[in-house]
Amino acid sequence: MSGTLSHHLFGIAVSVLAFFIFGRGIVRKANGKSFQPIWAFLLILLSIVYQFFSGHFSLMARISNLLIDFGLGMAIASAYLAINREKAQLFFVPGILAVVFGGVFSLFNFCIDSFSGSISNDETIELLVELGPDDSIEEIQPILKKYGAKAEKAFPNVDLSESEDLAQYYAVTVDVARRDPLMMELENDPENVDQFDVNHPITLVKPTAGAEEKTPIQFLADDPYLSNQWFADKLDYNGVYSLLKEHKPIRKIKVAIVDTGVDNGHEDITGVYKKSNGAGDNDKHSHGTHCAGLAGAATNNGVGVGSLNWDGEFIMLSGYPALDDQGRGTDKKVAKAIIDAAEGGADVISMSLGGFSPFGAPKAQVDAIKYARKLGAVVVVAAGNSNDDARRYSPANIEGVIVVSAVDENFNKAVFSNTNTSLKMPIAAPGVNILSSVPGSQYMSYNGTSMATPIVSGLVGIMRSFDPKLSADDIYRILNETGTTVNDSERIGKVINPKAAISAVALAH
Amino acid sequence: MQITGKITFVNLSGGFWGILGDDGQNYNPGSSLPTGFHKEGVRIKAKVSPSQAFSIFMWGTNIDIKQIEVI
Repeated sequence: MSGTLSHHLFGIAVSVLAFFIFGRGIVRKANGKSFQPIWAFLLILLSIVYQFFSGHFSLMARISNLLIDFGLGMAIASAYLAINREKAQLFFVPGILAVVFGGVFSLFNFCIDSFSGSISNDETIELLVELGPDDSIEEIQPILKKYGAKAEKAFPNVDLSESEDLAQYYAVTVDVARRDPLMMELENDPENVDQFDVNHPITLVKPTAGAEEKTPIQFLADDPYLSNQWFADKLDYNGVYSLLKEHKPIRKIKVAIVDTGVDNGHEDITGVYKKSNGAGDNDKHSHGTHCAGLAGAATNNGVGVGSLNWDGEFIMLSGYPALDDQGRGTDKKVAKAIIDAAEGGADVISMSLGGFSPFGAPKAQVDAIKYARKLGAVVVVAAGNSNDDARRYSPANIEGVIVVSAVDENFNKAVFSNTNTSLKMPIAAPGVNILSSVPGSQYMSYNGTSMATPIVSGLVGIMRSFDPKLSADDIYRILNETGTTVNDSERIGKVINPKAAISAVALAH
Repeated sequence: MQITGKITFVNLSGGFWGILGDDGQNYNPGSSLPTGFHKEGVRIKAKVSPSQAFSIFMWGTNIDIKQIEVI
């Protein structure tokens, strides 16, 4: 049966007392004495509160307990009335009815419990029991043993010095059928047990079908993390892959990552990496390796992330160190990295870096980029992450560079992205929650125009692989003509459309 | 120069700790911000000097912290 005898006894005692007072009041009133029913009402109220707010019982069990308590109370009151030759049926009939209904409820509840038990005899349930800070689990072992319950520390890595509370939590496993009596005994042991509760399982709710749900795309490339790169789907990398499968490049294009260096041993980069024989071949930060993966990670190689570099046949990557391990660099160091990249044969120089230069770019950088362009490099730079106008930042404000702002999953301007309303070559690409490679053959998601920039650099590399003589102006014209106009295009330029841009070059040759 | 402001984590380019200045400017202290101050919302007063001009973060003014205290 639901509930326990001790719980019942208290309820019965209160009810009996309440109805006895009632009965006594009726007898006294019959004898011409005053009758104060207030105490009886208060006791009945106490009985109701006690039954509904104490112990761990189902609602059905609480109702049946209350009916039985009231029924017994009224039965005893009716006996008292009968002895005093008063109207005993006043309490007798309701009392009997209450007991009968309470019994029926209780039996019904018992059947439900039994049925539950019959289909899960071996099913256990876990309680989270918190002992007092000075108590030990041994002190409640007799209770646990009585119900065949087993206890183990819920948070074994936490000791008392770290948390008095968490260290005293125990996960107690017990058969479902023995749960209620065990809980009652634990409740009756306040000296050792601070509190307890059922360890409710928390499950993830599978999203229901709706407009937001989309069937995962099946990429032509077999890179396992490609499906986690939302921009690959949004920018139709699959369309690019189907195109690149059918077209061979005139030559491989060298994309120079001017950054914190590149982990040349990364599993998804090493096959497409050409050493620059300097500090650029390693990356103690991670930023440069992340950018490299976006520009040209080996694709369709069964490893890691994807880029536009199908089969690794179109782009080779090289790293040039412009920034220190903290991601910072001097004007001189940045300029030197640009010069080294250009002299190292870079066809595309990708620069996910910048500085606040409201009065114009540093001369050394201007000259370095001019030199790189003269040697044939197309320079792609980040707009910056200050939600400001990119013309106040360099190298974005240097003549002849393609400036990349960032968009989010909805192709809206990323909140942090600088705008670009006055510079000559604005373009935009995804830059929020962008998954790519980081040192140690790992993968992480970063945000920033830093991420949007190498995506464009990779696209420029693919375009030049079909026509290495394309100038920065030629490339930008194609990017702009084929790009997707979005809500913020007036502030950040169009969003690249890789398949259309590559088609415009590849199909023309 | 001296700045006052609030420490914040900026989730750009891999993430870093920056300072939202009371003057409306953003400051990027890089590794010169002691790790003990890597706590969201802590209000600080600091003596700083301009730092290397270029970074991967492209957020705010790069500074080096000379002296810093919680206010």
